[in-house]
Amino acid sequence: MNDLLTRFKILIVDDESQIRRLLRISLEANEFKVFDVGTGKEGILAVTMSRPDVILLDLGLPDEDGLEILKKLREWSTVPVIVLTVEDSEQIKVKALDLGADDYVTKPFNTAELLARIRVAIRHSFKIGESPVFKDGDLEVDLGLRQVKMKDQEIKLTALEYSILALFIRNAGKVLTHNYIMREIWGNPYAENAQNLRVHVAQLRKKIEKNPSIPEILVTESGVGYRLKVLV
Amino acid sequence: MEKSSLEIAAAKPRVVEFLVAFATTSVIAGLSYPISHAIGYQTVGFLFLMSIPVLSIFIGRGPVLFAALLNFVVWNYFFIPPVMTFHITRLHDLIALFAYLGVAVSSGILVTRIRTNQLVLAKSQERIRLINSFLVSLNNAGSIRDVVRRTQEVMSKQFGAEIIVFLKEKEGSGLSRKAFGNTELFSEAEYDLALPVFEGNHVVLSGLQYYPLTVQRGNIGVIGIQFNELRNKDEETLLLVRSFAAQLTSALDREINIDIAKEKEIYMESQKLFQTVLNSVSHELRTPISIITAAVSTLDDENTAANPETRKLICAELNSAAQRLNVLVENILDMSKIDSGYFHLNRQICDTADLIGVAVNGMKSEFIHHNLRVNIAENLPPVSVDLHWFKQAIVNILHNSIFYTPAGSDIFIEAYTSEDGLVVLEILDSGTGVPEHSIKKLFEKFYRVPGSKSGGTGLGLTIAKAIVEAHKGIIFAKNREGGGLSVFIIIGKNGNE
Repeated sequence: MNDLLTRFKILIVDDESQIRRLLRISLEANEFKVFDVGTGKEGILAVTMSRPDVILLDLGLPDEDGLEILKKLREWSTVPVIVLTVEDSEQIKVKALDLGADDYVTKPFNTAELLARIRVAIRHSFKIGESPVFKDGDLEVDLGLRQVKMKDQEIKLTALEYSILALFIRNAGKVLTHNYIMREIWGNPYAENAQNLRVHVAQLRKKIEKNPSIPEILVTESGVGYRLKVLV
Repeated sequence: MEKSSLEIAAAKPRVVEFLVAFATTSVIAGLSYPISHAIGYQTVGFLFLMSIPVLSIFIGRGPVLFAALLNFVVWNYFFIPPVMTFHITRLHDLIALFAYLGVAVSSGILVTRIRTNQLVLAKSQERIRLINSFLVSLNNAGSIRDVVRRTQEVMSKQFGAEIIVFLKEKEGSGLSRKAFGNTELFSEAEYDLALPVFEGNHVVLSGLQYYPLTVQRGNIGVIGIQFNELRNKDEETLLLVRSFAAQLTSALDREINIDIAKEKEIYMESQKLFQTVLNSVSHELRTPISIITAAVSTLDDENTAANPETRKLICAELNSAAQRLNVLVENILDMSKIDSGYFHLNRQICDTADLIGVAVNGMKSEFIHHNLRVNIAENLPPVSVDLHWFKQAIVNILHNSIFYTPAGSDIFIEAYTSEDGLVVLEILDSGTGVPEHSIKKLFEKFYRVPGSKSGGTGLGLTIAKAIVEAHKGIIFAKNREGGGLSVFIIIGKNGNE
């Protein structure tokens, strides 16, 4: 699998030169091609010049707000963007995701985690390894047959639970915001659905998680949404 | 002036006015009597008649009517034939006498009425003038204390009154015990009298007079007025006092609102500074922590660990992140030492060249991307400094220079003697310099030039300044002509400048 993902181009937009250097070392060690810039303006320019496959965008840039750059970028580009944020900025994370970021990584980050996010983003963007059958750990879902199995045992889901699970599987590894899920499932992001969503996710967890109170598959991203974890 | 006009309007006819009336009649009669044959008694009647409007200009209605009647009697008795009797024989004399009376009384009444109206008008103009000048005075007041002081001035000048003002508590809705104005009037008993006025909106009229100071949203306080006992407290005065209280209220309300706005502004400012500090410190802490976390997890990755080249690079990054954390912690510790006053100098005589050498040697690894050019004049006098702290000041300035100078450019350290024999250390960088309006602020705590690149807490130069100034030296910055910034440190030979 890793072979498939090599030589993809990554653009790093971060004003801290030390972070750029370190990311470069880590990414190059994992066979990615790396470009890095220190400002938003250069970032936009670099996207047009070097056509990266994934952009790592720090939101705290000196010249321009990272969210503004994201907004501008999304006007003409669909390249996956992973934003780098700090711990205590849930609203900014949600805003970034709503503006079209594909994922986020919280500083201080673990390189393995970052690499996993990059791979998920590339897989989604290039539709690598897409198949109607999803298998990860004990969970197996056949989107064609609408069949869900845990440890080869078929389990029954309600229609709504199934559509929520299917949505997560189509976006495996990606964080989905509450608003996004509600829009996809109910067609509107109204607040009354938020409680509904929590209830259905809890039901779903009871059926697919080993320990529903400590979920390992459908994890909560606090203040942001949920993520279907995949083993990379 | 106000006092006199107020009193005239309010005055009852006084004895002296009757005396004036009596005297006037006597004089006219006395002077006319010997010549009445020559001028005729009718002329005397005219003189009596003329005296009435003239008198009414000076004396009140009662005395004027008294004069008119007196004239009537005197004219009849002494002048109209047959004289020395009240008897009148001719019809036209009788008619003239009563015509006189009618004209005298009505003109007396009319003229005194006109005069009263004039007095009322003058008085109300005076009141307007007073209120106006009070208003102007209040407008120039700059604080609550000042407003009350100016009110006290006017009140004692106009009414001989002393005032005491209680205001609503800043926080909460009670009446504050802190009194303004003549605080000698303050006592718990007075406060207890003022409180119901504040709460109940009614006026207490015994002892000190308390009036609530009311604005639309409720009472903002109470004014207590102590009148000088000798002065009368008539309706007019009370009315005026009330309008003064109203002016005082709006002036106080304005000052209170200004105070609130100021407090809010100060709060916002400190909130903003706190946020800035928090942001920059947390950014400075987080970045090296991010680097360390990422580096460690990269080392943990098999792909990376297998490559000795990569491993070496990562270790270098780890090292520099740790150093960066160290600089930050040192800065924060230094700053808190300086702030807490736990900061004493251990001065030693040392060679200036040595001082620079110590500072530069400790930062060799940081100069790898820059060309450091040190130029020390010969025969520099030794300086008396605390080596540890003074070195730190130089290091902090150099950190700054490195940070803002592009890699590959020059950084200079020049040391020379000024014309007046002082030692000058000049540290010049090749960065972009700073905007002129920021130059003075460079040494302020947590100040960072807007738009400068991230990294740095805005403490380094503040610490350098504190150290240099503790040595009785001077530190300042200037933009270099060719671009870049130069920071000057000037110290005396023995550090005693």
